Amino acid sequence: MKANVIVFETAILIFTIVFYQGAKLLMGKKRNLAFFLGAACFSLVIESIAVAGGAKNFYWYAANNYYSHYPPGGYIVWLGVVPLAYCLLWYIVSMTSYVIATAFLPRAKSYLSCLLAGGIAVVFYMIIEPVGVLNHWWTWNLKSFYMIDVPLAACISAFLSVFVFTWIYHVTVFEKRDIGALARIENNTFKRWPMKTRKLTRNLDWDDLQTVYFFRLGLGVLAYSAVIAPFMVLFWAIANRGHIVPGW
Amino acid sequence: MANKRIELERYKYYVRIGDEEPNRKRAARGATISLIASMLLVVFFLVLGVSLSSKQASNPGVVLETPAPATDGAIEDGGFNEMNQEGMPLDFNTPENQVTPVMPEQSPTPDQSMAPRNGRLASGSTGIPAAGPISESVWGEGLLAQAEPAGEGEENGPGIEVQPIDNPIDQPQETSPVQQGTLPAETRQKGPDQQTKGVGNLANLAELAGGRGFQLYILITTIFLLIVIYMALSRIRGQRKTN
Repeated sequence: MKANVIVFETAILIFTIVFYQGAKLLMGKKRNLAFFLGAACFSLVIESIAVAGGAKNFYWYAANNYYSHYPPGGYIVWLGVVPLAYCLLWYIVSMTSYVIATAFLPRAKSYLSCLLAGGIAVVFYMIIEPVGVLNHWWTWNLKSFYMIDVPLAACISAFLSVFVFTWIYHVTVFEKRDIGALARIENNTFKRWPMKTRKLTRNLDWDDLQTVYFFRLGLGVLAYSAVIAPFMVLFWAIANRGHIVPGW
Repeated sequence: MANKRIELERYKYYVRIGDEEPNRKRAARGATISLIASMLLVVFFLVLGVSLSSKQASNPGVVLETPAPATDGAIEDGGFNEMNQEGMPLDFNTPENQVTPVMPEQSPTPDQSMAPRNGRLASGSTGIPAAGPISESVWGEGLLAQAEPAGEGEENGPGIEVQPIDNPIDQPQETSPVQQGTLPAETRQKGPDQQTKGVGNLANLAELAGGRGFQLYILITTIFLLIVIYMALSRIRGQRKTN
């Protein structure tokens, strides 16, 4: 007997509502909203690329004849090719990892606590992935090296994505810090237009700060892709499971 | 107090969550709610893993099981066709150009009846796996047909069609969009199998410890995470008390 995807989707929606309320008290309304939107966008972009690249898909229930007669059989809310529930799950995992890491290393350098957050996220996904794969909430198509039917690339991806995202969030929203070489790029690009300001990040108002935050998240996706690509190539070479051509 | 507040306002960008801003008690309460929600999420996955997924985990075919093919008006799990108001089946699922198998004297062996036909598990979406080892070509065909859109009812036709597993020649898949983009069979057989083996296979883990390997794995990982979350929670609450 499978746990229908509707169980997953409903549970995640309920957990997200409770979690969001708590996180709002913890971090403040605006900062939590920034984390939520950033996490949703960041995970959505990464997962959309994964689906488009044929690494995974979320269509098992939608393609199943039985569930085509049962409207709640497949995911209900989609953001393009990725279900909303998956992005919400990523938000909960990344926020929890970030809070735990900050609690354990309150005075550490930002990258150290974010590295710890990435490690905690991997442990989360070591529970989530096997259950998700067994119940066909998502399916891995990737040619890769697998451990317990979870691609190793997925574990590295969870670590890297949470690390990159939480670090950008921490540096931009909490510390409001300019980052060496990146500051020059920012000054010569979007700070020149449309923001038309030369202020330091710490002196920006909230709206401008959010612009900087999302710009950095975009660069974060690029950095993440650049780091994960060699791993994908390596695992492709030593794969213990072949590529499954997605049939969509 | 007022000076402290001004100081916090000035340096609010350098404070840490759960420590200074927003209000410490409020932040600690929020952390408690969030982390308890996370603990419940972990327990939710534990329950699903132990109760619902453990039997499936011990079966190597479940992870790569393909969805039951879409047929017009047929519900495969129940093994019946939908009836109209007059009690007649809405669809017999017999495409006009389908090659009708003529094997009246050949009854399927138990292995054949459970084996995937047309690359799919005969059990459809029930999660009941094909018994015994599954050949590479079967998985190859089945997985390539994954998420195939509505076909013309190859599975529930009136005659019991038992195709030879390694002979996909007669399978009416010419119209399948999936097949159009696939590689020839010879090319596909190069490289690793699509079925995971050894450490890659979840079923091997599940068979450890007298068939409770997967449950133990989920349980240990969950306990570890719960301890970590609890320690973080107690630290945050402790910080609130000391402050």
